[in-house]
Amino acid sequence: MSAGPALAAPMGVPAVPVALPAARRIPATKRGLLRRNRAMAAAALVYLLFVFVALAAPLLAPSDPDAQVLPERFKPPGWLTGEPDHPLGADNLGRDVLSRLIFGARVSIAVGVATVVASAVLGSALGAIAGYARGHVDGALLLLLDIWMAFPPLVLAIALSAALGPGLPNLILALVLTGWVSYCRVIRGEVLSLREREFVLAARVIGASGARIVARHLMPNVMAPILVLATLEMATVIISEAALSFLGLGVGASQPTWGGMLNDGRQFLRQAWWLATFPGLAISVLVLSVNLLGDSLRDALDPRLRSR
Amino acid sequence: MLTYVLRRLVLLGPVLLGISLLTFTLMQLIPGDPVLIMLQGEGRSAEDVARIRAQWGLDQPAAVQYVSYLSRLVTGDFGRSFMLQRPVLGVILESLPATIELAGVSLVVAVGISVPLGIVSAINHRGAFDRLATLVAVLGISMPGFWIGLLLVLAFSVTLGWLPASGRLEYRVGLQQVTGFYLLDSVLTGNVEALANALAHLAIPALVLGSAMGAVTTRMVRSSMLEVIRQDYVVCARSKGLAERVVITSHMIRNALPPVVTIIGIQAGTILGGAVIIETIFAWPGIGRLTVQAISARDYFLLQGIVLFFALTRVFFNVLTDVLYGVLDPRIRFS
Repeated sequence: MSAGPALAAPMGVPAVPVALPAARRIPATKRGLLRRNRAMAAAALVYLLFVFVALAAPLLAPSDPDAQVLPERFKPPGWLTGEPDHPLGADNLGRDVLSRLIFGARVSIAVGVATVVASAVLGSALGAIAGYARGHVDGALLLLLDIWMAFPPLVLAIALSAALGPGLPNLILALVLTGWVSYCRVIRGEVLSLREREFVLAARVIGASGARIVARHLMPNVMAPILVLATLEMATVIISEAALSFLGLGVGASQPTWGGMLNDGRQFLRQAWWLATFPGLAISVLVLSVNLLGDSLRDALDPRLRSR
Repeated sequence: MLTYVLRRLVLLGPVLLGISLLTFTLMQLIPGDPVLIMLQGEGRSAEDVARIRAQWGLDQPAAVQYVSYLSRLVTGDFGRSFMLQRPVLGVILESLPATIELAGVSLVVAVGISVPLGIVSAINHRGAFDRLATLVAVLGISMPGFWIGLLLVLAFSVTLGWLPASGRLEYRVGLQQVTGFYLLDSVLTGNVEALANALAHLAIPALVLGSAMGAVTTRMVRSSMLEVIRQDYVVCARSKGLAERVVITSHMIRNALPPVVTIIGIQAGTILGGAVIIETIFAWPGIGRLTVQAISARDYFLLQGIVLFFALTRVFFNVLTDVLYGVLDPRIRFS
């Protein structure tokens, strides 16, 4: 980076003070990058905050999320009543909304991370194998993709979740079986174009096996699109989990979830607006941070995915 | 063109077979005996359960069950609903007009929002309007539709009392059913009151469903426009002195449109998925609500039929989109 803009006036031009901005002028593209990095850092910070809340839930929650205090039913948020015991109010069973929100973060974060990791591994492995092997393997996979993509993702997740029954592992399985397709498509395409590149040919010439080429030469080169896709998909997964919980599917009523809280609150919209408002706000802020993170990662790492 | 459409339909064969296999497998995934689950502990004797199982063919091996499922599907027999004791296809077709009406109006909302927003955004690339529209689009993608729906109900139904919170039409408003599409029926029978009432019921659900879809489409329209905006033919059109309006409408939009149509086509198939939740919130008597009812009644045959129906619809929309793409972009060869 140069020491600063040269302000010396060219010959023959009167040296009037030039109205430059106070700050050093940064080229427009770099300014964009800087702003994007700032946005990325902010989004990452918000996401990490949610992760922290999920991990430290028992320490942070002011009370037991399942403790029912019936006299406290429908107590409005603390700032309205002036009593600090329920900062975000209490629900129809007198449970503390803030504590339930804090514990609800656990399901959203855990399902988001686990689903994204599992479907990224499954989807990209299948995609890489098909893209590298081509021929019948690829044909079979394309057919499988066509079949899978015929189902609206949420409908497939709902049907799988209904068939598999409640519980965290089943919920994650249902979402993985729904979500693997996007990774598979993108990675297959990437590998199809990468496999003809010189470094892959070179590896083949020195006798590397197909498995080794996929694992050591192709996969490291598709990590950027996988990372971008995984981040953007996490937003979808979190919303899907909330939607399933909202419908009474998902992990079941045994633990608080934002989607479940939203569904509970829906029935008491008239009496207690805070029951449906805060869980939705939590989902939105978390998903927004993940989306912004994904967008800036995409701009930074993989401009080709822009149209997604 | 016709041969292309026919070819596409023939190639659909394996996909349709796969779809039927996947929906069939869903039933096999259910742990335990589906008959017992569907009876939900009703006091039935073991003989009764065995009789029902034989009646539904559930005592056969899975492969035999699949073949008979398939042969029934070919004749349009989607099975029988346990909950309603009626053929599944009839139940689905009955709730179809409500969903199509909602999805159709939502689609109009989505296109009405996203196309102008995306185009103006791209033309003012990196301007204040573009930033605002991009922000609104990200917000729209991030906020779950079922939450926005509840907030709108809270504002416009509970607090202000302007719009109804659920249903398709108020009981007191009589409407003679002709097609099952209330908007169409009220126009056909000249029933102004019913039209106003049906529109009021549609307003919030269609806005929620449409804006969720519109947020995605806005981003697509914008990036599709940005791709053409710097093309040589756009520079050429400008340098030969064409009015900016002509450059934008017949050079940029004309070329940016085909990919957008693809996205809208795909979304049209997806909007049905979104309808599942929105219909549940607004007690909208369509397929979406039927899905949730089938799940809570554990009517797996109905659920299976609905899922199959959703998949077939989406496949249909995908083919339609491909064909439409070719019509809009003559450079695409149907081969």
